[in-house]
Amino acid sequence: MDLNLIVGGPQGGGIETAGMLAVRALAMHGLEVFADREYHSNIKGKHSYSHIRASYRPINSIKYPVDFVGALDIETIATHYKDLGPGGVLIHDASLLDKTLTKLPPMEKKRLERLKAELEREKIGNTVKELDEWLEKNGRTVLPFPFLGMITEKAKLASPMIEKAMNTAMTTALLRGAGMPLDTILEAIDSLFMEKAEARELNRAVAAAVSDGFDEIAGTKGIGKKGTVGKGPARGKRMLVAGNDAVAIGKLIGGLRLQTYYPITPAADESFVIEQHSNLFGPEGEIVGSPIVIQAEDEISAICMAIGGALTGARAATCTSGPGFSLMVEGIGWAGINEVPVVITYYQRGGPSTGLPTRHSQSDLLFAINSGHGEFQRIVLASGSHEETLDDAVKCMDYAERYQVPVIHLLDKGIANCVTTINPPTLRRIDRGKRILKGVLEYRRFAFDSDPVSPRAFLGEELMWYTGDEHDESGHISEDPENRRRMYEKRMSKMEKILKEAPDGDKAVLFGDDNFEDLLVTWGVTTGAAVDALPELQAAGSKLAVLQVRMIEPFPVDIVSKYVSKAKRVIGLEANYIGQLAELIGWKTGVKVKNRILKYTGRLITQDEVVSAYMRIKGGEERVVLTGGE
Amino acid sequence: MSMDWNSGVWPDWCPGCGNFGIFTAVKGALSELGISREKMVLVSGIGCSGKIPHFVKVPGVHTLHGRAIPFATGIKASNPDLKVIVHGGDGDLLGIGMGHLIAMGRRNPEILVVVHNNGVYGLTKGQASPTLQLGKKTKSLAFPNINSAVNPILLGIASGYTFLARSYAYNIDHLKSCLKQGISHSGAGILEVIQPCPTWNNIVTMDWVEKNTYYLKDWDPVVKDDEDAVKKAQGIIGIESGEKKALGTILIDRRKDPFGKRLASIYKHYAAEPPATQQLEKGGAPLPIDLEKTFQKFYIH
Amino acid sequence: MGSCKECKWWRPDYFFDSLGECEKKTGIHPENKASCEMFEEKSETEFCWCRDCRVTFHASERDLHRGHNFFCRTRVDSDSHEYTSTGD
Repeated sequence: MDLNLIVGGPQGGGIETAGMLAVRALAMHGLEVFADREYHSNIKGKHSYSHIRASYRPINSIKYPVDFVGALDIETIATHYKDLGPGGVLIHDASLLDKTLTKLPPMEKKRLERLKAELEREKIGNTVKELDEWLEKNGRTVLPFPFLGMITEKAKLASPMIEKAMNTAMTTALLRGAGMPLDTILEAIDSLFMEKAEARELNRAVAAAVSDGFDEIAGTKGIGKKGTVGKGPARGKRMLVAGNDAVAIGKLIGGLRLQTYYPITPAADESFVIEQHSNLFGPEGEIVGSPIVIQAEDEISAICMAIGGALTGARAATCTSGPGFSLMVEGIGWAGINEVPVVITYYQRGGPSTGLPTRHSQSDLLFAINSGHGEFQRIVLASGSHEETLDDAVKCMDYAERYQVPVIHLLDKGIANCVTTINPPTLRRIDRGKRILKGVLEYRRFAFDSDPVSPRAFLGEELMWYTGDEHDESGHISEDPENRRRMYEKRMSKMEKILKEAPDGDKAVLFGDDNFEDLLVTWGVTTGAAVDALPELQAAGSKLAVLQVRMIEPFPVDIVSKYVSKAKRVIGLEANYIGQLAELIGWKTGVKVKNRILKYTGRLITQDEVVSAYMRIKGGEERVVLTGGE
Repeated sequence: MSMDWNSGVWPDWCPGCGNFGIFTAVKGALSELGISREKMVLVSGIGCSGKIPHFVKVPGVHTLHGRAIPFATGIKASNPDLKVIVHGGDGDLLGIGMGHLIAMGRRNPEILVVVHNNGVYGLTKGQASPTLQLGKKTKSLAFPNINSAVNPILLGIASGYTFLARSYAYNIDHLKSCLKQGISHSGAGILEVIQPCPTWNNIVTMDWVEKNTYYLKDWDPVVKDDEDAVKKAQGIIGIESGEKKALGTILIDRRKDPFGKRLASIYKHYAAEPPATQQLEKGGAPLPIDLEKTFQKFYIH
Repeated sequence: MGSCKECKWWRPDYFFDSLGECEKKTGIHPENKASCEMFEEKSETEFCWCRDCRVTFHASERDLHRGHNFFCRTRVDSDSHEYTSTGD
C-alpha cells in the first residue's frame, strides 16, 4: 500500500493546514508519512501544494503518479491534473465546474501558455467541466463536491472561518476517499487544534458534515469503499516533524544554550521552534535547561554573536541558507583560526543569489567545504533523512567541542520543509571535549602538544586572548615564521584526527547488496529517493547499491574509495548542475564519475525519477537531467 | 597599580599615538574599578585601536573589522557576569560596523563602546574615515575629502544608547573618569575619544584640540523623566551643532531596561542560569529531559 | 432588493470569493443569498479589490477594471498568519 496524494490551493488560504491535517491523520492511523510542501516566495495567492505519501513501510521520498488530487482552486486543477495515475481521483468544489481553466492571474505567463498549449494539443477544452470529462474518458475519476454549500448549510457555522472550513472539508473528502474512518480524522483535528477550542469545534463540524455527505456523492463511483489505507496497526510512540523541527529538537537535546539567527527561508522556522521550547522540562516538571534565542540584525551579526557565546562556554549555533551563509563566511574563518566550537545549520535552497528562496537544491556543497579565504579545518556533515538529521544535530554539537572547529550541518529545503514520521530520539551524555581544571598557572589557550586540540577554558575562567591574526600559544598576534608553521600544522592536523576517530557510519553509508555492479552515489534528502527506489530496481534484476556520503569534510577518502573503485559504473545523483559530489569524489579519490543524474528545477528528486533515470543510464545515456514536479 | 595591567606584549603604536593615552586611562580605570581580572573582557575590531586587548592583562577578543559589537553582545548575553568593553576605531565602528553600532543601541546591553576617533584609517595608510569633515585634506590624502562626517553622539541618541560621553586621549584623568562611568553604567554606552594620529592626521593635533574643544559645564547629563528626555535630546543637538567639540559626560539615561533584563523577561530561567553557566549533564549522565513533556506537540499517539 | 453581493456590508473571502462575511450578521453568507433588512447598496471607495484580476487598485486605475467584478472590502482570515510559510 503506497498512497500518494496532492492537495493544492492558493497560499495563505489555509492550504498549509490542509496538508498538516492530512499528514497528521495518516500518521495517527498508524502509517509512515512523507510529505513535501511546495510553495512560492509569496504570502498570499500563489499556488502551493503538499505532495503526501503514506505507506506501512518506511519511506523517505515522494513519487509520481498520484492517486488523489484535492484542488481548492482552479489553478491546482490546471497544474496537477496530469499528475494523476490510472484510476486516480480528482476532488474539487462543484461550483468550479463552469469556470474557465485558463483565467489564472497568479500564474506566470509562460506557464499559462504551456497550459493552453497542452489543453489544445489534447483537445481538452477550456472549462473545468471539459477537463473533468476528459479525465473520466482517460481512466480517472472526478468527484465534484458541493463543499461551499456544505460548509454554509450543514455545518451551520456562526463564525466565518471560511478558509479553515474549506481546507478541512477538502482534507476530509480526500481522506475518506482513501478509506480513512471519520474517527481518525476527528482525532487528528483535536490534536492539531489542541489549543484552539473554536477552531476545533468548527473543523469537527465541517469534517462530520462532509463525511456524512461523502458516501452519497462518492459511493456511486466506488471511491472510499476500497479502504485503501486499510486497518492501521498499533504503533509505539512516534514523532511527526519537519526537518526544521528535527534540528531544533536535536540541538536542544544536544545542549544548545545560545541560538542566534537572521530570518531566512527555509531556516527561520528552526529558531521559532527553539524559542517556543526554551524550557526543557525534567521529570518533576522542573526546568533542567534553557536556551536563549537572539534575532540578529543580519547574518554577520548572527555568526559573530554565536561565536562570542561559544567563547564563554555556551553551546552556540546559528542557522541560515545560501545568501546568509555567504555573509557568514568571514566569521567562520575567524572561528577556524581561533578553534571555536560553533555550529552552523546550513539549509541549501535554489541559488545563486536570491535564487529560488522556497525551493530545493543541493548546489552549495563545494561552497560549504571551500568557503573562507586561507586554509582551516572545519567539519561538514550532511544528513539524508529526518531521523538522521535530528541525530546529527546532536552530533554536530559534540563534534564542534571535541575538535574545536566550526561545524556545518549541511541540509536542504527538502529536509527542512518535508514532514515525516520518525522514532523519538534518545537522550545521551554530552561530551564537552578537552577542558582544563581551573587555576592553571599561565594558561595558554592554543598550547602546543602532541594532540592538536588544546585544553579549553571559557572566558571568565582564565586569562586568554583570541585574535583573527595568526597567533602564538597565548593568543597574541605573531608573525614569527616558526610559530606560524607550528600553529598552522596544529590546526590542519585535526583532519587526520577527525578521520581517524569518526565512526564509519558518520562518513558514508552503503544501502543494498555488497556485491553491486552499479553504484549510485548521493547525499542529502535525495538519499531517500534512491534508497526507496532500490527494491524496485533490484527486483528488475539490477545489481545496484546506493552510497550515501555524509561527511563531506574532512572527506572520507578511504571508505568512499573502497566503494567507488569496486563499482563497474558509478553514477552521481544529486540536485545541482555540475554534480558537485561527483566532482569531489573525482578530485579526492581519483575515480572519475562519468554518469550523472541531475536536477536543478528546484523540485525534489522523486523515487520514480531515480528509477527511470537509472534505466536511461543503463540504456547508454551519460548525463540525465530530471525535470519532474511543479 | 596600573603597571599590573600590562600584558607584557610590546605596544606597537607610533610614538605620540593617542592610543597610548587611551591605554593608560583604561589601565587606570580597571585598577580603580576593582573588577576581577578574568571577568573583564576587552573586545576589539580591526585597526590600530583594535590591538589594545593584546596589551592589557585581561582576557581579550580581537575580532573582525566592524564586528566587535556582535561578538561582545554574544559574550555578554551568554555570561552576564563578565564585564565587556568594546574598543574600535572610527572607521571600524562608524563605517563597516555602523549597522551593528545602531543595532546595539536598540538592544541596550551593558557594554561600553570606546570609539578611538582619529579621523583616518590608520593601519591602511590614512584614508579618510567617517568622522573626517567634508573638504578636509590630511597629509595622507591625495584629494580633499568628498564625504560628510557622521557624529557618533547624535547616532547614539537616535539608536537608543543610554550613556554618551566624549573625551580626549591625552587628558588621562578626564578619560579615566569617563571610562569608569561608562563601564559602571547599566546599559549601552558610546565614549568617543578624540585621538591624535601623528602619522596620518596633521589636522587633529594637540594644538587643534586646544582650540577646537571645550569641557562641558553646567550640563546635567542625567535624564529625569520622559519630558526631560526630549529636552535633553534637543540640548544635545544644540551642543553637537556648535563650532567646537564638547568634552564630558553628555547623556546618562537610566530609564530603559538593559538587554539582559529584557532577555530575563522572556526567558524565565535566564536570570537564574544564563547560557554559559548551565550544566549540560547531571553527574555523568545525560540531563533528565522529559522528552514527551517538552516536545509534546510533535508526538503522535 | 438584491443579493449580498450588492450590499455594502458584505465582504467576500479573498480565496473563496463566492462566500463572504457580513459586518452586520454572523455566519457565512454566499454572494447570491437574498439580501436582508440591513441591505445598503455598496459604493466605490478609493481602493477596491478586483476579483477578476486579483489585485487591489486605486480609483485612478478604475478604467482598467471596467466590467470586472470588484469589491471595496474583502476579508482575510484573521489567523492566516499562523498557517503561512516564510517566503524569503
